[in-house]
Amino acid sequence: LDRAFAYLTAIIVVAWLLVLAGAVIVFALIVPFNYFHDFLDPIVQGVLATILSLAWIWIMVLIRNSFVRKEILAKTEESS
Amino acid sequence: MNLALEVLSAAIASIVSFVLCFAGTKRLITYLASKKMTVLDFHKADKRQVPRPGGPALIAAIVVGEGILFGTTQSIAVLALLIVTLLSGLIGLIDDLKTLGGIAKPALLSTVGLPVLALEYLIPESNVFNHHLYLPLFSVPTNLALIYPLLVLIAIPVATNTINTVDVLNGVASGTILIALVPVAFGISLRILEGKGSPIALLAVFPLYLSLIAFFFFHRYPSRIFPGDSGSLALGGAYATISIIGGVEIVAVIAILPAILNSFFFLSTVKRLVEHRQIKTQPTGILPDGTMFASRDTRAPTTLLRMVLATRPMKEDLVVREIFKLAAISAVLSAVTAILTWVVVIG
Repeated sequence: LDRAFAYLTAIIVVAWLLVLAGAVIVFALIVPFNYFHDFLDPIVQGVLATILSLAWIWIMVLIRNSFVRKEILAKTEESS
Repeated sequence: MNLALEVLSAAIASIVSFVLCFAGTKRLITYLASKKMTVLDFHKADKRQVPRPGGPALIAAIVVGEGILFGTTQSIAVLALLIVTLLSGLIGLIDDLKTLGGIAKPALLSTVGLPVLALEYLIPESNVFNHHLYLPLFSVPTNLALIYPLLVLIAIPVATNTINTVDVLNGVASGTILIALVPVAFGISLRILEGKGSPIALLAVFPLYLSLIAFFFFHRYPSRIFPGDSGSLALGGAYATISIIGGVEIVAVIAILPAILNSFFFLSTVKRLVEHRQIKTQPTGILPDGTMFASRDTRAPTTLLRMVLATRPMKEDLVVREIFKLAAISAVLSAVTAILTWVVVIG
């Protein structure tokens, strides 16, 4: 199995799991507000969406940096 | 109108779309070649010229197919799909012919979602979308009454740009959407079975899918035509709208994760809205025999293509196969997400 392909598969699975984790967080926070009124304050919705998006972006940037360092730039050092 | 007639109408629309796209693309290849409207296929050793854009044939086929479906069902959701595909495609066509900048294109695309909102709010009981977002694992939907319209405005330009960005290799843009539409249709079907979705959204997938199959025949490796921005933006717009009218937003996002990650990694490296052609340090290089390799330059942007090539150089057909395998993995995860949303719920 090609290392890059395995790494990319892992990235996709992690990205997917983060979306599922986000759903659990949203639901856990929304149920107390939402269950009877079927509505969560739009400001809370916006803040929640922003925080979860930033968390997703931060984790994916860390993974990307790790991939580039290990699989792309390390090869340059090896060859030089 | 009863369901049997709607299904018959969708079947006719799909056949017309397929025939129109197949015949139209074939004719367009000859026309574009005769007018010298061709571009260099960078990743081929023989440096061949390929006709572009093939988008007009694809847009015409989708619009006519969805137009037939709209004519018989009078579904405003189908009309929304038709309008978004047409508008995204026209913006792409302007870009193909005049070259829009890195800011002008997203600015124009950000207006494409407006007709969807207009149709939803100006026509009573149009049911273009439902602002109750279903999350995986939980049966209670989240009411996004105020946020959802904003998400519609953002999602369509993001999807169009995402598909546009992944259109760098033979067949990848059309092939990725072909693979992604399978779990999207599956998700819409599950939603309908749960009594929470409209069969029209599922029927609307078929003219799009059949058009895409016909186009992929010419766009697959080795490409005989490139879709251009008109084709890739229309596809992105149609895909986003299908996910909105079908109520399968999260499933659709998961299904195109490789394309989303490509766009995200690119933007997070260059840190601004910029066209690929404006990038000074290219993420990949090509050897005289057509073998592609990842750039080791620290200034080069990170893209899906550069990551696929990270451990070994490859020929284009192999890279395309690797990307399709990643798209298939995402499609499986997307189908699992659909099951977790409408079948296996814990809350």
